[in-house]
Amino acid sequence: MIRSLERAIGNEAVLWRPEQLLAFEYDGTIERAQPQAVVFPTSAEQVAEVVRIALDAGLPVVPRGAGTGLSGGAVAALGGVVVALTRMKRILEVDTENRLAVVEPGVVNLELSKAVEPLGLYYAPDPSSQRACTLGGNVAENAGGPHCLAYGVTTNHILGLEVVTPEGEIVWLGGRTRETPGYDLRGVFVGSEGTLGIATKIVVRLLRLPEATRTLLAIFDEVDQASAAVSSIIGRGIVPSALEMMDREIIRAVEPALHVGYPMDAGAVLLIEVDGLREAVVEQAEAVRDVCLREGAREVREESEAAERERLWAGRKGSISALGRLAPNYYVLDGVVPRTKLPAVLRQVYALGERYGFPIANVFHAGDGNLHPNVLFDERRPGERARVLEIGAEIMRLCVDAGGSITGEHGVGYEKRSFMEWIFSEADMAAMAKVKAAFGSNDLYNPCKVFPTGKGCGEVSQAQIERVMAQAGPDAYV
Amino acid sequence: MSSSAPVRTDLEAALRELLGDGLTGGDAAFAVDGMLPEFVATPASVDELASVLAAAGDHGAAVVPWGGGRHMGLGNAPARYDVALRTGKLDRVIEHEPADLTITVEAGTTMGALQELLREHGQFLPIDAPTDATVGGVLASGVSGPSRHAYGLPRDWLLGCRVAQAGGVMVHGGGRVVKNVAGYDLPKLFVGSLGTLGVIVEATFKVSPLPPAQETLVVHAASVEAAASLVFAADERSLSLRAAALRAQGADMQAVFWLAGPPSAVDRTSRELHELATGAVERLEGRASEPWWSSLVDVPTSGLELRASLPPSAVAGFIAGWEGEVVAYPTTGLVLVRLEATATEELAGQVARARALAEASGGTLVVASAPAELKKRLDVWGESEGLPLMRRLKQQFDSNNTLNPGRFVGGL
Repeated sequence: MIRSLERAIGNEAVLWRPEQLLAFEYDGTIERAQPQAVVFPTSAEQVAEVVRIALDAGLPVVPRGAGTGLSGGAVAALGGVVVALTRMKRILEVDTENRLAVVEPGVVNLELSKAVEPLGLYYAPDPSSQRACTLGGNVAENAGGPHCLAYGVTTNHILGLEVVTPEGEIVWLGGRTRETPGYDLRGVFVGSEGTLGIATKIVVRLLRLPEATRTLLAIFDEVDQASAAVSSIIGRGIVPSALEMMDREIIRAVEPALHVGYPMDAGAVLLIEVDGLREAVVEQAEAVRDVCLREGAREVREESEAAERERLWAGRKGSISALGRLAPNYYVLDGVVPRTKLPAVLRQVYALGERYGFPIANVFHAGDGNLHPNVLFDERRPGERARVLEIGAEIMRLCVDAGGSITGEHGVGYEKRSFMEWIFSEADMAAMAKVKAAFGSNDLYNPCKVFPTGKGCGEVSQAQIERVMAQAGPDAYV
Repeated sequence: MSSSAPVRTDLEAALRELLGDGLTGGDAAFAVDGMLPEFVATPASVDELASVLAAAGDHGAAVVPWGGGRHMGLGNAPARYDVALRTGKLDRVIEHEPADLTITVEAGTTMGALQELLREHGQFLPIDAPTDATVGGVLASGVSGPSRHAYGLPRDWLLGCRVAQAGGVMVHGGGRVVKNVAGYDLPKLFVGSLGTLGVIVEATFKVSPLPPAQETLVVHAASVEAAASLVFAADERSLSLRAAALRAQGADMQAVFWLAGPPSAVDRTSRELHELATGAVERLEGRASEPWWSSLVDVPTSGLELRASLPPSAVAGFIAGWEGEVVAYPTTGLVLVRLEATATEELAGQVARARALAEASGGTLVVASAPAELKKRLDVWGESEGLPLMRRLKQQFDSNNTLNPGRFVGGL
């Protein structure tokens, strides 16, 4: 099989020696599994070819972007051939008149925005890993980010896709216009976590850079005050472009590491951004400031220049890597609750942490109700991992009970497939299986992802999930 | 498939038992492209609706889901048509938490009722539709209007939905929170699927705060090109616009702007548009804007209407040369052409040429409505590259071809 792969796409595009495969055993989580080979195709035809070779040999196919995912989606759970798209990294076309770009899947998210910035344009979805993550991976996960509050997540910005189906066919889904007749296949492909095919070309919408942007940092004594401010801002009819919260534990990690000026005794900070026409931005910033002060903010800082705004964001962007200062390990969670349930759910999350004896640090997209609790622990202590998983599951359960979801942007992947049954009935998942069948996908195509059952995956056991847990290194982002 | 008399009798008995008075005989009010149904079913609950689908499946009957009946002109003539399935009685508000900016309603809720409820809370759903259109009908037909400039398409506002599948099995996709990537995004599949994969019975939307200020400026222009370049110039400046439209009625050409946002942004937008405009400008203040824009959306569907989705740069070229009424939303590439449907022969040729023009620029063209006689000569949907995949999807979701048989792309 290795030889067929090499014949198809060249020796230098196929890795198969065990030492070469090491780096491809895991993604942003710490689940590890060794593939038989990693291939680096450079065209849709090559992707189609390697998919056919692998499946004909009875081996699983696992698509992979930059490997920054946080749900184990790129892990070769049952071995097989990892199809890494990182060499397909050309921006094929930028159409300024129609505000779109056609890119290959390996283009790094931020690189696209940088490339079109001189034209006054940008690509809106901005996952925190945007310096590393690829647009192909973003499509697979339907990635979000801080600025998705106002501008929507990946699916709202994809016009069309060239896709290699699991059967090795090359088809276009959607196109270059806002809508195309027929079923919205592009819509269902986005967020399918690499189980319906591999995108080889992506048509994305580009937005005009806003005329003005203001960033505010509001400092609160209590996390409840910050939560109340979030509700009040939204309730006042203001839709900021970003509305992020960091709690006491995050501040304790970030400030000594990055010296961004967060008071060490603060209970929470909100990072709020508004953008648009100059006049509107000034007005909105003022309204946001008023709300925060009324909800008890002890201080509100405000910046309008890019460099100063960057400084306010630095603490947010470096928050996860700073967690290493507080504990040897941390487990990054991703759940969603209705905004109005934020204060109650946060209190329950902290209470759980106390009951289990784990500090929990929260940094998250408050405006969307998208929580990222980080459970701090030390894996060297016996039995600790199992308990971290337990609390993780309990926190997910809290989100579901509050009417929310088990994932807002990281995906179900390998990690959360046993939780799918909490929010979807058998019939719901049967309908998803119909979609999978229509795309010609099967048990060898990115196996053991999204759905709780799959041939050879077994039931999701405690031991399996345990291995998926993220201790996440400096490359982790939420 | 022939509808033999005993089968009909059995079906009628089954439906009668389920619905009682909710079952009536076929009626011209429920004609689709000249075809009448045998029965009109009006279930009083989601459960009843699902049972109707189960019974229809058992008896091999073809079902046409019917919301407000406002977009029934879309699609091919049905291959078969036994039961019109009305959703009108499913009009409850299931959940509305204003502070969450989300709302869950049953699919028979009218857009008018929904918007009225939201307005009480200073909110709206930025999907333009006639007030008597239903939520389910709007989603299934995938229509959109002026607000797409600032707010995008219905697909962008639907967070989750419940659907009764052929055979009556209920499924839901998505959720009730504004951000959610758990499982496949099934709601996307049902939007614009014309009820061929299932009948939407409940929908959860993200909603938006009403802009605090609004006004409308109608700018008269000398030509299509002049009007289009005014629209694009405004868009380049990222002015505070909810909508930007071109309207041509005979020789009269207008670029029309719906300004919306904080008062200061609306003021500045108004100022700059006055500077950019070369022709006469009419101004509608505040809520007087709304009826003007509704009149673009709330139009009878009896004539011939073409709907082209184009790259924005191709809009002006496409519009030039049409007789009749043209409304376009250039920044998002939507063009609607409404024609008197008289000379059948000639029109069929015209539609084919328009489609060729749309496709040459990378766009598509759909016949959104046409008189039955004319429709027989038209290709309603055009070619679709993803058709084999769509066919497999239809096969998976509705293998008996119960739902809207023949009406969708490729005769699905």
